[in-house]
Amino acid sequence: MKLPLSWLREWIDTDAPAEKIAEALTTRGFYVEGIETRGASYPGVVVARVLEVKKHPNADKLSLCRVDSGQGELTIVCGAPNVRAGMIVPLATQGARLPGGLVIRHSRIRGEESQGMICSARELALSDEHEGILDLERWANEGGASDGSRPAGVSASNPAGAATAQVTAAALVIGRPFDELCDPPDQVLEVEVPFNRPDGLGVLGLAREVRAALGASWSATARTRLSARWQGRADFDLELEDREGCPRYLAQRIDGVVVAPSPPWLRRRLESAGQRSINGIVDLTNLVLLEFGQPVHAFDAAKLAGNKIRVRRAQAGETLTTLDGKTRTLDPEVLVIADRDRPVALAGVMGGQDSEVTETTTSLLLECAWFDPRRVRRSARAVGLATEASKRYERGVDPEIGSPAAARFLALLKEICPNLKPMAARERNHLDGRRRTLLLRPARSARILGLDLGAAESKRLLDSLEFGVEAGDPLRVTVPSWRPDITIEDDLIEEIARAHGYEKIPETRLETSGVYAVRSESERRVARARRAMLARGLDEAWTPTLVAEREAADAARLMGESAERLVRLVNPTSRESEVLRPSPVAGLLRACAHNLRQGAGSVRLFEVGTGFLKSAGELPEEQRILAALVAGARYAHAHDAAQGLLDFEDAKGLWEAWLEEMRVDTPEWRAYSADGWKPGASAEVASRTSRIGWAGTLHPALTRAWDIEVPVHLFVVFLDALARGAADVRASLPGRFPPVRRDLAFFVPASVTHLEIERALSEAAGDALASIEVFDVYAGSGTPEGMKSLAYALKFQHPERTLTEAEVQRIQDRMVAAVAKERGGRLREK
Amino acid sequence: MSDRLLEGLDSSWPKADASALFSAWHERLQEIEPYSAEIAAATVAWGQAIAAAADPAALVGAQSAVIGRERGAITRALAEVPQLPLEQRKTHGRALNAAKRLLSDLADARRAQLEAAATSSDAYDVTLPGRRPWIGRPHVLAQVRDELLDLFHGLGYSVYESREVEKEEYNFGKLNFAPDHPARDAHDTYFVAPDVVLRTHTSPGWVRAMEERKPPLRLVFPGRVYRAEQVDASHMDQFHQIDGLYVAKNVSMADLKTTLNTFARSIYGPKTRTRLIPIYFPFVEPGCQMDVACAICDGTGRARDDASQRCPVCKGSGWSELLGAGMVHPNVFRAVGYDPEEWTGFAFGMGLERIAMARYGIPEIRLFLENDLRFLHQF
Repeated sequence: MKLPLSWLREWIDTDAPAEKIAEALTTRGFYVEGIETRGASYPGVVVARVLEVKKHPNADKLSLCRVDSGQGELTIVCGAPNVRAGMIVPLATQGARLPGGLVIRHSRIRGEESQGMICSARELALSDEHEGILDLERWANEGGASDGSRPAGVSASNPAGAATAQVTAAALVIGRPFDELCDPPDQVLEVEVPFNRPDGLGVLGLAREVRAALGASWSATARTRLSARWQGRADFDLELEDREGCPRYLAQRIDGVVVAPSPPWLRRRLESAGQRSINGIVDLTNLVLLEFGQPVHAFDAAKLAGNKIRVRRAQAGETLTTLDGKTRTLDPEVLVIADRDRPVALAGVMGGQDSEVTETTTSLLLECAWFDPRRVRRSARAVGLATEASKRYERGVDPEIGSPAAARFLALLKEICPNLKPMAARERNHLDGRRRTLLLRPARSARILGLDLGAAESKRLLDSLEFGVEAGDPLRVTVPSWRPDITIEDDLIEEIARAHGYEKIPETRLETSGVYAVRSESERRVARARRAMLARGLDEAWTPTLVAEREAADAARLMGESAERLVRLVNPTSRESEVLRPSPVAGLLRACAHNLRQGAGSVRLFEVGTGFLKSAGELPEEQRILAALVAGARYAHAHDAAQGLLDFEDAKGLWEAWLEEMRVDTPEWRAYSADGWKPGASAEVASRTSRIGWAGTLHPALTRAWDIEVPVHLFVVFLDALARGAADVRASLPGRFPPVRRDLAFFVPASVTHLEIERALSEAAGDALASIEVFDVYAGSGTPEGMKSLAYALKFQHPERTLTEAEVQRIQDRMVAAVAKERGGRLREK
Repeated sequence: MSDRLLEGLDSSWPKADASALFSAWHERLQEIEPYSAEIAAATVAWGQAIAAAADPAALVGAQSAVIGRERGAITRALAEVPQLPLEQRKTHGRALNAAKRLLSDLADARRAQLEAAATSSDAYDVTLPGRRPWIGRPHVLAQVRDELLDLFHGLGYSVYESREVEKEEYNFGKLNFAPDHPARDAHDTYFVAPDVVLRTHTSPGWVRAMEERKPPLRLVFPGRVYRAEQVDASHMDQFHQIDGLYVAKNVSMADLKTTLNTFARSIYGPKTRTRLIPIYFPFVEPGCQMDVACAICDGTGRARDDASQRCPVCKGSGWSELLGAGMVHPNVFRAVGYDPEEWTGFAFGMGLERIAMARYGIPEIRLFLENDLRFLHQF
């Protein structure tokens, strides 16, 4: 809501500067986002006449002018092509300050003295016109500013609303300060009005707050306007068929109306409040709306069939072409204003095109009503419209302001159309009319605020906001009609706090109240998961939950899920974000592709985030998933053979180290093949027989579809499943007796896995085997057909004594025998 | 005697002048000669071999052959000294000990010489970069979130995490958003089903927590929230909040103010100026907003380089919005089965992105979820 201070000052007597008013509004909950100055002042600029124009002796495009400034003749160098003798112009004299900050000084231009500057409209910030200097006679004939943004009357806006005189040739007295031709600058506050304060959507409501904050009094004008009451006949044919949707309606027919452009003061006022001027009648309805927060509508009475108004629900299938030119099909949710035959307006939302006020209109029907907020909201929603009127009705217009608002409209209309004749009229009012009363316990107020203001001070503060307060404990408080937001005791407590000032609420000492902070197991697990990934040199990514269909589908495939389980938005705002990710993989691939496109050589990212899939229940399944991907170089830097592209084993090593840091109990890797993964280079990872995730290299076809040309290695784990597989920590004594080391190499059939051999060896060795590690894998020349070579480094250690050579040899023999018997392998001779 | 003193000395070994390596050589040799010319001569022979040892292995070989603990020629001769005739015991003992010390010192000198030579020939170009592993950095929002959670942990707040896809009732109804109330317009809402939404704020967590637990409680609710907005430089449809909630017997707005000021001073410094102003949220009453003095203009509202211009960040107000807060609305307590006459509480909520953007001067909100490495690596 734009609040011009000139308008505010019509209502309250205050000379407080804009900053103070802004501060008062902000600290009372009406956040002032900015202060705009409209118009400028022109110290040192005067009306002058050009007496003579000669060519500048040293410059083709410049003229040398003799100018009458009213205080003597001056010589001015001028570059404008349109300057001519006899012209009346704005002249910036020595010391003048122009709106752009330029200060005028005597100067020499190409050797000739210039004692000032003849100004263009742009130099005076009157318009963007810079084609030449401003011809004041022409300007006066056009009624002031050429673009309408800077109207010019000879006096300030007239508080009484009378039309102001235009700038006339007679006003152009040589030597007169240019300021006298212009309005003084006005300041406009941009106020953010909270949803619960419909009263703040009118100048009157904001004036009430400022008045209370500054302790100012109402102006005489304000008192007159607030006490004015509409009076009219009771002979118009008006029926309220939906009294719930429309409990109060005032209809007033006015004849003898002339529709013409608004007078300058009205145009200016609307423009300063951010509204475009349309014509005198429409502008007046907007003025009343902006001033009182009460929407009023003017129909062309001649276009209403049967000279009657019915306020009713629309019938299914009825249509109405609204003022915006759109034809809307209505349903019974929508409240309409109808004449004898058909709807002519969407009640509280927008008028109909057929009954719009036009240049040919001579007779009006004024509507000033109170519609039920919920009904207007439903109507507006049903037709998909939000207007200045519906915004106010939805939030709740003051049910008592209609009469002063209608009176004000008629008074202003009389000024524009002196020959108007009030005709048939009627007001129907089924509103209760009683104001709400609430009880306020000062003790609760003190308890909630942590500040005991006492009953007397509470009463004083509420009084300042025009609440009616009966003393006592509890206080009995009557809520003003314009405050629909005040419905419970705690609302009054806020009013007291606001009026007292939030800044005066004291600080206390923080109490524990017996609640202490704990970190949950799952919180610590996530923290460890992130730390363990960071330690592997992966950057943490936060990728979008909302992704494109294709991205989500790829991520689902990689988890073996079908696209049917994806959760989709009913109302997406773009194709790029219409599906909820099943895992963070979708976003990681997007980020990977983005970074490669931007020239990154390597991408290493992980994310801990939620994955969403449809479930049997009402709400989708939300799983906490860690996903990680690596692509590119092995080292951040290496300039020797150690550098190279990460391969499956590099990546697997990262994931294994992570699993170990997460204390996953003997994770098991099983060959896995599924859509999206590269055949032979992917695995599912299990712990204690339940699957916790997948790892592997992505299928080149999949990465190509993402415009990724390098191999991408991916890891996906369910963090909650992983928690179930975490090992219990039990301490054991490290062996103290000397270990015995042995290396054993086997030829085994090519199809046998490392895991199978390792298990056979471990089981055969028993407890004496302290560690086993594969150190060489080889197939090729020297290995028998269909075989490969696996070599293991073994360490034997007994907890209680030194193992003898003979003992170790016996264990070793058992191990070799087991490999031979169980897996068809044999010891490789040296 | 002389043969035995030279046992283990290979005549094919190269020879070099020991005095060239060890300046005190002649002087120390003269400590031996008066006692035994024979021992002095053997010392010279061994000294030539040690001085000429080509590498550390040859040096160790020669050294152990002469003064090795078990098999060294001189070591063994020393062991036999007690068997010598009385008049020789003293002289030979002295000479052999002096020879042993001298050869040991000579070997040390030769070792140092060999190492110095080796170092200069295998020298690294220390200006070359090393073989460097990757560094992983936490996401900037994670850094800010973790810092805030740590701070609230210190103030006694535990983390409570709740669903991102919520029933409309939890996102709105139970938080005192009346049906058909315009306040819902401030929350452009994504739907996945008629009554199921992506939470528009983290506040549904309060409802979940209070339905699940008995008061008193003190919790923070970090998480991702969603608004159906067109994305641009300052708007994202997915962003992050942290809410806080404290419910006990007599929690007041003064407690709220204290908590928020403690928080603001912790993240912005002890001298931070704040202000509390009224604002409307359906789920609190009274409601407030905490602003902090604009960090760019230091609360003056004027541009740094030109005092006649407004500060571009706070637009001249001198303040920037930090968070929304208020006393929990009695209707919210009723919705979760708490008696508003028995319990009072406050709540607050803030946007992570706003705090991160202000702190680091991040110009665009979209950068957070784009994960450009050149952006991520700045934090």
